[in-house]
Amino acid sequence: MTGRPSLLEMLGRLRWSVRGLLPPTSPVVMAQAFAYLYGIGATLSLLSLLLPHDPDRWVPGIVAPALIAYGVAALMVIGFERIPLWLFRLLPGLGAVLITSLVYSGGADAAAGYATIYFWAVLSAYYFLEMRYATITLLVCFAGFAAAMAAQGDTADPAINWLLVATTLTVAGLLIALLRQRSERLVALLGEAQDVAHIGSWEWHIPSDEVAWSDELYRIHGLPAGGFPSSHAELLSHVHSEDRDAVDRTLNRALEDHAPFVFEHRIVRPDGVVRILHGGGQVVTDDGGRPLRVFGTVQDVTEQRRTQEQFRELIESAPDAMVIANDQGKIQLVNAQAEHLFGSPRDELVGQQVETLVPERFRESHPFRDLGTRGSVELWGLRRDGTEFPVEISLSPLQTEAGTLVSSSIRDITERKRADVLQRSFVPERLPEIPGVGLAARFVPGGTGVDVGGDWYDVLELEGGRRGVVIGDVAGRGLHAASLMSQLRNALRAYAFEQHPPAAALEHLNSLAWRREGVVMATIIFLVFEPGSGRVLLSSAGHPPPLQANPDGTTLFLEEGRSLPLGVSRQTKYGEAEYLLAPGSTLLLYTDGLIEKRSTPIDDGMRQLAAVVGAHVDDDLEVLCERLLETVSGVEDDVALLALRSVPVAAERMELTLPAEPLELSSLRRALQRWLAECEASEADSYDIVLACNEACANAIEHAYGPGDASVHIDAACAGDEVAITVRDYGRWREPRGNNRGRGLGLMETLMDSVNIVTDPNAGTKVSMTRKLNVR
Amino acid sequence: MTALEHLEVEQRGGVVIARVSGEVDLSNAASVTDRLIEATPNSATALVLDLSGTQYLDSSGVRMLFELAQRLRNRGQELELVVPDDSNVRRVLLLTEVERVVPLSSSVEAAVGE
Repeated sequence: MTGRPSLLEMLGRLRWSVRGLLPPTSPVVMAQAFAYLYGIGATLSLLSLLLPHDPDRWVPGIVAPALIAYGVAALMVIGFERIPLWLFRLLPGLGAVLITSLVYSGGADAAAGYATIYFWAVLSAYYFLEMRYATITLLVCFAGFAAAMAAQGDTADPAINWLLVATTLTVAGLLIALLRQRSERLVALLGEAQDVAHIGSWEWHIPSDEVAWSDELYRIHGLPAGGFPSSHAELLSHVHSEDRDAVDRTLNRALEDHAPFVFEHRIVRPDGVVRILHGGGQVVTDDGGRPLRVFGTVQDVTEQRRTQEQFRELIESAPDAMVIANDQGKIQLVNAQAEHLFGSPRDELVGQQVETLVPERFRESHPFRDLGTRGSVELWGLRRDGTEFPVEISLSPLQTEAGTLVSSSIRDITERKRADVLQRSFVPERLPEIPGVGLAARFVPGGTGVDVGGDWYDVLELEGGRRGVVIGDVAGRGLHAASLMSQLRNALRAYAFEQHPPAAALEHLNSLAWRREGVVMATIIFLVFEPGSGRVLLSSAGHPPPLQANPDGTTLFLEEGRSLPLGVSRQTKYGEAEYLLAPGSTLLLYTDGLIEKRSTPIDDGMRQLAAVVGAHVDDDLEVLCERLLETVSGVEDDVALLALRSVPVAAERMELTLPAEPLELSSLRRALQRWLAECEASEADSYDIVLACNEACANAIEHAYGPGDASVHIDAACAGDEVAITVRDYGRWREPRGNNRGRGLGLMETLMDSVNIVTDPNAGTKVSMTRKLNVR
Repeated sequence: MTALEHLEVEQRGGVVIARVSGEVDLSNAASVTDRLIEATPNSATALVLDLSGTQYLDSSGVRMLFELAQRLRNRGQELELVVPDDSNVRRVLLLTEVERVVPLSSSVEAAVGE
């Protein structure tokens, strides 16, 4: 505020200051009020010279006080910024002296007319100041009048003059009451607005070191409103001791460079409560550029700062990277995880467009701003160094004072993506359909799903229709465990295919584990199941025992054949145990995630498992698996489970020995049709197979000689979708003769996928045929 | 034991119509052939053999048809077969190329009407 403002500008500034933005004790406000009071009073007294007058009046005694009053008013207008507070306190007294002079000089008859001056004085005092100033002014004026009357002595008619003054003052009082009533509502509204915004104002008059506060500022400081203006040092005493230096520095800098300033500091209230204040100020200089006054506003921002602080802490402590952007897509706030994830420091990210965080090709379709997106979206993220990585983003709207912000929670899913691919490769996509064996399996990853677990299972088709079944659990999680698991899995496959029995295979696996660097711990069960006999040969490396459930619902854990886990001792000898799985019996292999819960002992878990499996011996294996997973929901660890059931083989295999009689052919066909229906062969498939088998048998029957070889043996087996039939006779194969004879063989070859005829002059003929069933 | 097959014969003008229902295999093919020859008098011009009701016919039955055709031809008589279009028996006849020697119709009416 340098350069001299014009008088009009100063008056304008005076008017503006009345709006309640400055403390009522502010020199500016008081200067304004007294300027009006003295100006109006002087004008009215000069105007009274035009009225009919008392011959006794003394004109200089009227003109001189008026000129003095004008002088005071002018001083107020021009110098209001520089007037110290003590000067204002003298003004009511000066007013009383001037009025006394006025009334005394006016003569007895005009005394009543001068009383109107009081009316205006009191009214103005109220209007521009507060009630207490009006009261003071009124009392001063009254004293002045009484003094003047007394000095005039008997030339006046005191009764009439007093009556006129009393009447005038009553009207003034009524008007004041009316105005006060109306303005109180305004004051109340203004006060309310100040309360809500918690805005207080202050002014520091530097030459006198006096600080004036608005009522709200007293409230903010927890002090009684309207307290006496204090000094700058006293003001600083309210500031939190840790912030005092900073406040002092801010003020001193402002006093040097005269620039508007902003500050934020804590204060300590008398009751010990700490509040956070935010404010701004401005230095006013005199003509010589010396700081004269400093005024400013203060807001209590404790609530906002605490909320902001909590919000920032919340964002910072989020496990995922957080990026908060406004509705224009400009980043407003990020946390440390986001800095780390995108490889950019905070101050570089803030202010950027969110689009810069995704590769260019996705920028048009990126979901950062689209709040319609619900749940999470998988996308690519872009680091500052240009590398891309898969992310999962979830968005949520954030309502703030600054409008709606979009908060994105971003998670790097690189590991999970890798884990997904790996995990899929560890367990068979589809279990093979095997005659005589029912199989169902489940794998449920535990934890957050980012790490790969160490659990796996495997089903192998071995020589002679036997099945290798594997379940294992490598200690630990993550890529290391996964790669170890994959090595063990593949190695075991190789050992199994090379016909190593379970115990030998595990021994090889153990020595393989010892050859690996680093600590290896794994439990595993490898068993070989023979579908026809139901024989199970099992070896376990420290794995939880399989659970056998019989058709009658009884259960037992197969504890035999168990040795130490892989990687514990190089010398471990792995044993084997043989069990017989009767038709209809179920064998459940599982990993410890199924029985181990933090809250319950492992024995309880095993008992619970046995109960569930025992209750579902008649149900489909898929149903059993579902039930098992339901009972262990909420697991922390991975769970792998594999259920195997020995299925009665009657439906899968048929052996028939028929007398070599043509009449037997129809019963062969009936038996074959029934069996094929059980194998779920379609009608067309069934017709073809029956016809081919019939041809083979008819041929044998036609060539049978004598009683010794008068029988045909049929052996039919259905494996998966393939039917294999062997027809054997004990006679001698005769080469077909003529067209008709070739027809039977031709039919067989046309109807079946493969026909193989082996003739031994001594042992008879064996016709082997296979045919794939068409999927219905 | 009930017979595998059942034979019904009727005559319409010079045409003998024989219906074979059931199954024809090695055990009854020869006898069915004989009975069909017997059922066809010398006066008849043709034998229409209706296999619509035949559920099963193996290579012995195919052999029977060739033999029947040969014997009727020797007597100056025609053999015609009635086989439903998508029956298993028709498939067998096509696989064994019977239709090269004996005409196939899908209904008796079609066969008689010719």
